[in-house]
Amino acid sequence: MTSSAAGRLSLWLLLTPFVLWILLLVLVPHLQMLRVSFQVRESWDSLSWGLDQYQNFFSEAYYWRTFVRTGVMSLFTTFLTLLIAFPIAWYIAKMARGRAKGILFLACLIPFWASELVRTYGWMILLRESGLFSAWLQALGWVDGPVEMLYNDVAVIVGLVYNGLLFMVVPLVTTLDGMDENLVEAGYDLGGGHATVLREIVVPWAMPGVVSGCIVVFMLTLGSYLTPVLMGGKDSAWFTEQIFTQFITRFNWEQGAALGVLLLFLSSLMVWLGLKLSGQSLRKVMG
Amino acid sequence: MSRWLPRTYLTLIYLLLYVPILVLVVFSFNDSRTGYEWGGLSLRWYEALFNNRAMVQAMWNSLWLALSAATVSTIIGALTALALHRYRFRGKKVLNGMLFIVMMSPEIVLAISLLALFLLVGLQLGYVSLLLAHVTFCLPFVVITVMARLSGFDERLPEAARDLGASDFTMTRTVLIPVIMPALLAGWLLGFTLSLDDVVVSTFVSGPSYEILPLRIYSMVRVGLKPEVNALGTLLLVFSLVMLMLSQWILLRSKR
Repeated sequence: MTSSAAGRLSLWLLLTPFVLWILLLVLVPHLQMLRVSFQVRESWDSLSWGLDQYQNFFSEAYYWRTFVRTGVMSLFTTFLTLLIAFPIAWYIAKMARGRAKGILFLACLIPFWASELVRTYGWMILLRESGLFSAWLQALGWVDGPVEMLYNDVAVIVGLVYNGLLFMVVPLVTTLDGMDENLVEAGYDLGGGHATVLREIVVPWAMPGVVSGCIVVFMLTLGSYLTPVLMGGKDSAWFTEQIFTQFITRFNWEQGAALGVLLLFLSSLMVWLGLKLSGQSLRKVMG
Repeated sequence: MSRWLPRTYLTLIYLLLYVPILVLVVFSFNDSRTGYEWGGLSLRWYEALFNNRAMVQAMWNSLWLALSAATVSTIIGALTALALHRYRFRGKKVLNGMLFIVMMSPEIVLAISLLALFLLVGLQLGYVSLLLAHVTFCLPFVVITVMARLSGFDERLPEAARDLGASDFTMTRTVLIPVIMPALLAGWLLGFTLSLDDVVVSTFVSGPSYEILPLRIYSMVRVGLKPEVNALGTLLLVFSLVMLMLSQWILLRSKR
């Protein structure tokens, strides 16, 4: 069928809208962004080419500090999400039985059907100075006055871990589900302690799930915008905020485009590194 | 192993998962203005919303945008999934890769690249620019939903239909479309929700001529927390929940 002329024709009829869409609204804009990032504005009506935007990035401490900070905080958030998610996934995959398993899994899913804005706003109600947590702490007599728990790095990390949790739990449950319990049993029978069994049997088995969960959570965290903007403080700028500032507030597209390219580069690099270090392929991880 | 430790941990985490959302819903019915006192049950914040003409307009705009973005991306996505499923061709891997790149790359990068494009070609920011942008980020999700459904599809069915003398058109109408219908519906609902919930991309590509709900909520939240926002957030939440539950239910039911 594929070789016949009619097959060719219908293939093209089916694919054309998508190919056009991707070309015109994904590929062209991205290339255009790359091009703009190499432009230098001499005056209001003359442009030249150069690496100035990238040089600015490295010479101005504010840019690359935020860049490094965002990267480090994203790594930390990813790690924390993994630590929190692993026991949940283990419980769902290995300890829960029958109906409880399905219910627990679904219960984990539902909060993520709310939009990021709604979820972040929920956390703001809880953490702000006149919020519930502050009121509860006062009622318990642990603090004297209202406490502001919003607008700092801890709040941002809480929000980011919350947003990433599901994307870690799902791949972990999927891989752990396929693990034979007898393996763990055998590990203990051969004299392994908890730590040894975890290190030698469980973690290697769960590795594909760990890698794909970590990659997705890292990408989501690094590229997140709402949570750091709404929950972060004055000096906890996220890299995406800088892109917004350059593009919208300062109208400095050349710089904004360069920062966008760098963000894209960093996220691709981290995915590649993660895959290399764990010896996985993208195809397998994204399954 | 002791049983209470894992259970306590799980209870704590599930509580933390639900508390932010429940608090939002509960306080949207709170008569008091504060964020920590219960002043009795009241619908005043909902009333205030529906009496606000600009707000209602933004709601309709959002619904109309989500409806059109979901429809366009479902049509294009269904065609693409069929092509990717039925044919082997050069560049197939590239296309599959593009899907993942669009899904995984930071929203803000898509947003600025689209904004730059729209301004370059002189497209006025408003309904059309929002629609183009929303379809772009919905498409991969629809394609993947439909592809997942097709991968479980028995290839002998269309063959049998042909052997029984059905034309390509008849086969498509009587065999293929009924099979992928649940996935189309689920994909449509998913696209609808993604579009309805989006803030980041919309922030960049919307103009003053077309106000949408999530952006209004976002700007209200940035200025300070007001009880009206609780009601708005709850409405948005209920909408997403209903849509996605429906989508999951359709997919599950069709598997039986």
